[in-house]
Amino acid sequence: MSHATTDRDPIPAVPDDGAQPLLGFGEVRTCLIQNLAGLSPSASVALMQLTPGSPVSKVDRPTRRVVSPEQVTGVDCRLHVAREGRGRAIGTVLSHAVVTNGRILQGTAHAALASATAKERREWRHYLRQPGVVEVLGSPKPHNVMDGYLTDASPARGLDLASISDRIIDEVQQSDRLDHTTALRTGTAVVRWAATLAQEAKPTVGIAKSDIPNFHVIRLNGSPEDLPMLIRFCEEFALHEWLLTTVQDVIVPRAEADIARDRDPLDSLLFALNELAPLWMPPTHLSPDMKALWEAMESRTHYSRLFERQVARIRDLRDQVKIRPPRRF
Amino acid sequence: MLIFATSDKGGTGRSVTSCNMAYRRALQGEAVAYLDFDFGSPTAGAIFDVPKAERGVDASGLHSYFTKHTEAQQLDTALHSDSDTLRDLPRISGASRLVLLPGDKDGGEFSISADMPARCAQLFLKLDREFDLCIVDLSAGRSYAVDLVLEATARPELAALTSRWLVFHRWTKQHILAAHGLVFGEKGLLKAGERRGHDPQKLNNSVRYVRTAVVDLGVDQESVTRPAQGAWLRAYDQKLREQADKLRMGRARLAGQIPYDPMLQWSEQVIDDSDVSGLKIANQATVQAFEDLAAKLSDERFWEGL
Repeated sequence: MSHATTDRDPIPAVPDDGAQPLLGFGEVRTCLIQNLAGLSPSASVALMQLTPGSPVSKVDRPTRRVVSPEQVTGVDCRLHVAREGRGRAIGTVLSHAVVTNGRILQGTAHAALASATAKERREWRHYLRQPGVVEVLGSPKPHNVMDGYLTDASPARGLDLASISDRIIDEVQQSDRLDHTTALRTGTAVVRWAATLAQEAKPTVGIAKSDIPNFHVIRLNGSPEDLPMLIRFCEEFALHEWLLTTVQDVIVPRAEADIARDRDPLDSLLFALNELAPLWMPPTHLSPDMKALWEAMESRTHYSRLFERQVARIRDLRDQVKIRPPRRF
Repeated sequence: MLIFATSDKGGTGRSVTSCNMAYRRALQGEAVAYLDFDFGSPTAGAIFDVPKAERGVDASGLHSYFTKHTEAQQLDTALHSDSDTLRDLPRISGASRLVLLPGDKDGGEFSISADMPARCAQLFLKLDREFDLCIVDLSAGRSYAVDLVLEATARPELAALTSRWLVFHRWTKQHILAAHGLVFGEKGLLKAGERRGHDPQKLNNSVRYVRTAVVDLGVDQESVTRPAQGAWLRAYDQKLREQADKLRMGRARLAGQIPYDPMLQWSEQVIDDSDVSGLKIANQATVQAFEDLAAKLSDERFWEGL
């Protein structure tokens, strides 16, 4: 890897003496906020104020999305490399939390991997100057590093973005601004992603199959400048994947079982219709590249159509309950 | 909801009863997490027949969660158990999941460091987001684990969670006294809870008792063969009842009574209706007792203040 000068690059992804990143790694966790009611806009902003003084970003439409300031975590660890090669990762990982419509919480950890700028570990202030960049000492092949990361078992070895995204979720969920009442029992979904970065590469996406429930793996391509867009894509994918899984695997089967056993399923059905269904808002408005990525994903998964079908099923179940309410003893 | 299962003495059948109670709740459609807090000798893996957790797992068990700050691994019994009963659970209509959070193989007791209660509360909160019911199997007697959960449940972030205690004891004079000491004694639950900020009255109201290995005089004719024997047993049973009443452990606080079942004495495992009706190796009364105990957990009238 050459010590690329940044003169030719219009938007340097890393500061002056840094190398161009070759890979982007990340992990997104998605769950419900542990609070009985949805949070107001101001409560969402207060909850996302993880670093006093740093700005919280807030967008109101099409859904209200509040994002915490980036947190910086220093790492120095061995990489888990598939097949052959070894490497040591030194640098900083960024993480932030996102609240959508005062209901859904996401924790994201991400880092850009670049070849080391020196043969040995440098002073920390060097790494701190490039937040979110992890330098790789040694010369493992990028595709081996990528496979090693994506197929890594839990508990994680190597660069442990899982723990960092998990920690930010726990930190937010423990906040004394929440009443810690679970509005609907659902799982936390994990999306682990890795992007191969190359100058002028077009953004593309591939969703891999995973046998582990609530765990998804995404492979992406793009240029280093695309990295923020790819991170956002993964967060949007994770949110929509969580919505679909929650209605399909939690709410509908539970309501069907409740109806079969003469229990009242209305609370969770209405929760799905009023709180979850309105959150289905594919991010195609954000940019042409985002639109292309999303549509490529949709063309294979048909997520929107599946979600519509589930929402229709929920309406059916609600209507059935209205016509023949469960027996009350 | 959090259910803490404890007993003063070992060998009460606390774990095997709790595991069966967990199974019955999952069968009824509740997502259940079973936490093996018996750090010294984890046993739930063996009862659920999970080979990789038979005596605890090699890494990332609950012991390491507290002492090494690793994640606590979750083993879905439908995927990791060798028991047909548990493997079949997802195929039963309306049933939910039963997940084991195992202990570590080389665990052992540990003293509580300053950050552990918060970490414990964090774990309970996290599980409550996903599971309807968390059953926490504590070791027999007063242990660090008991202090840990008392301290965690006194924390403000757990104020919204319902916590309930089941104290298991065998139906003998000594066991009744021991269970009474575990709750009301100088070093008992109530005193220890009060020191950590619990209201002892409220805490006592969240405690119920489970009598185990009770000889059922109506059913066990085979073991009660002589009239004199039957008469003596009935009289003694009455004496034990009076003792329990006096110690505030009487009927109103009785969550369940598990009959003596030879099969469970030899093989601690999860049993289902096929063990009763098909193989006929377990007694119907045992399965019924597990079912009744499971139903009691969420019977609000039963848990109202006394």
